[in-house]
Amino acid sequence: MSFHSFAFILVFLPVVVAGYFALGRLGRPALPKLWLLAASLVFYAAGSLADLPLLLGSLAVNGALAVYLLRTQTQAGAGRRALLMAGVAANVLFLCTFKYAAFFVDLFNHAAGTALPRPHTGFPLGISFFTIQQIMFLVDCYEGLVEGHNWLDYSLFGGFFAYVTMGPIVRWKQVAAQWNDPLASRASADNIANGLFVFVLGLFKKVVLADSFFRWADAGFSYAHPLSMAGGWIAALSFTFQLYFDFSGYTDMAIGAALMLNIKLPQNFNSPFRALNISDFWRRWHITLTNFITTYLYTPMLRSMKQVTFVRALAATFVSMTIAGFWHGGNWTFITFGALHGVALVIHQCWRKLKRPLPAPIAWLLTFTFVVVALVFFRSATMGQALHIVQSMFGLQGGLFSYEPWSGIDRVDQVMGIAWMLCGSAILLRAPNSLDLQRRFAPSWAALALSVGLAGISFVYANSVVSRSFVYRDF
Amino acid sequence: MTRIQTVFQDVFDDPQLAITAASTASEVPGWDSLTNINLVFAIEREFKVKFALGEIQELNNVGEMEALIRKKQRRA
Repeated sequence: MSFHSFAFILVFLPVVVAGYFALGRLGRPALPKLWLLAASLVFYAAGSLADLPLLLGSLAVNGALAVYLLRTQTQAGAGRRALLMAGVAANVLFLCTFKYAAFFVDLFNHAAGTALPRPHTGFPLGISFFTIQQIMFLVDCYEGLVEGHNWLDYSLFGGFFAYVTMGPIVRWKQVAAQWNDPLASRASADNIANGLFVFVLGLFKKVVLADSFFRWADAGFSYAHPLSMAGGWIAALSFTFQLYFDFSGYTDMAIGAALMLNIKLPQNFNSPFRALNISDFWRRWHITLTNFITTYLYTPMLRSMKQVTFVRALAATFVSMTIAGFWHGGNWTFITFGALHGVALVIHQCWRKLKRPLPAPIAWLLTFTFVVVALVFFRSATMGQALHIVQSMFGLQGGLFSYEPWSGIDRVDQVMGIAWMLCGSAILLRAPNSLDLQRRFAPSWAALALSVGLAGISFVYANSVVSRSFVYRDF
Repeated sequence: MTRIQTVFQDVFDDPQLAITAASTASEVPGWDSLTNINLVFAIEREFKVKFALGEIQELNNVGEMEALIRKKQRRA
């Protein structure tokens, strides 16, 4: 079950919201939380029943470790630290086993000249997200930042349906206290209205915008012959826009659904394509992942060094970003994506030392072009495919513009494709983002009409063959 | 706050830099993750405190940083 499915929108979400507030009226705080936990497990099982034991296993093991770390909070000992390290290592191993086994087997076969069979297991739903959330949780337990822990709240924290499959990645402190607010299970008209509005914005972004851009992106990326420069850029830009509308649309839906239940989730996007440098881009793109990388990867790396020098900090930046790229999947394309961003961040840091800021339009163009090119690696199934598209973008394959017979896309469609690119650019660069719209939102007839209109158009799209699953569902 | 300001001026390599309790990373040019971590390390050295990883992420402005330093110094 996906956020943009009719089952979720018309049955699951209304039933969960109504049941939560109905149970909230009984005066037993545990009941609405149990209801949310049960709903979350149903949501996860509906997405992938076979993976449910893995989610439950991760919750049980990490929960038990957390109990020990919290009980021994006042004791400073090597044993406690060793247990934390073992817990973190177990989570990394868990992720590697289920997500990267095929990649490592390929790597081993290539290096050792063996022919070990390649495991063909698809990786478990949401594993990348709930595993790093558990790692952050264990570190927070160790550092004494977790208060009010109990098994019910913890299970809900680890499995809440709004973020369990694709984030936003949350920390205990960001959500646990909200469930225990005395007003948490009392229906709030403001939160329901605001949540619905954001949910509809996200739904529109996903099924109308992202799924339309998918068509142009897929046509270009699956075209096996030499592409013109225009063809390369249309494919790369389409994917950039598709990914943004897909993932930020998903996040809006997650934030909206949670807000209806009086839970405020952290933001994940803030107009990333308006960034004037690559560092600024990462403060605006997948913000909760950036926070994880800087706080739980980059900082400990630097702390482990006796002396932090500029060069060592740059090396840590590069390594952190390469790991972040690899986190997306076991493929050299993801590693390259992360490494490219690492290099870009290093160059930016060095440039900043010179104290010669570029004019804003040039800074924007450089940043945006780099992001689009790096995302070609992110999208491609192989390095060969990525290089094929990148070469075409720089005119190394075909002419400036030609009417390539893309799979199923004729000349009229290509002109339409260019119109969509211009439309997407205008939205990303000029229109207020979901965060701005949510802040400005006030219940009114106009807001209602807008929401109903966007939802109506979205339903038509969601009902068509165009509708696709979320890109990040595969990470 | 004066001691914090001095640390900021050192880390940002800008003797004219003026900060207030309300200053945030988005307002001060050049305050990115690398500068932030250098700031945290410099403040830890200056005030002889140690921040938890999660605490670093939670700091929204200079005032919160100052409050956390005081809290840690009281505990020590």
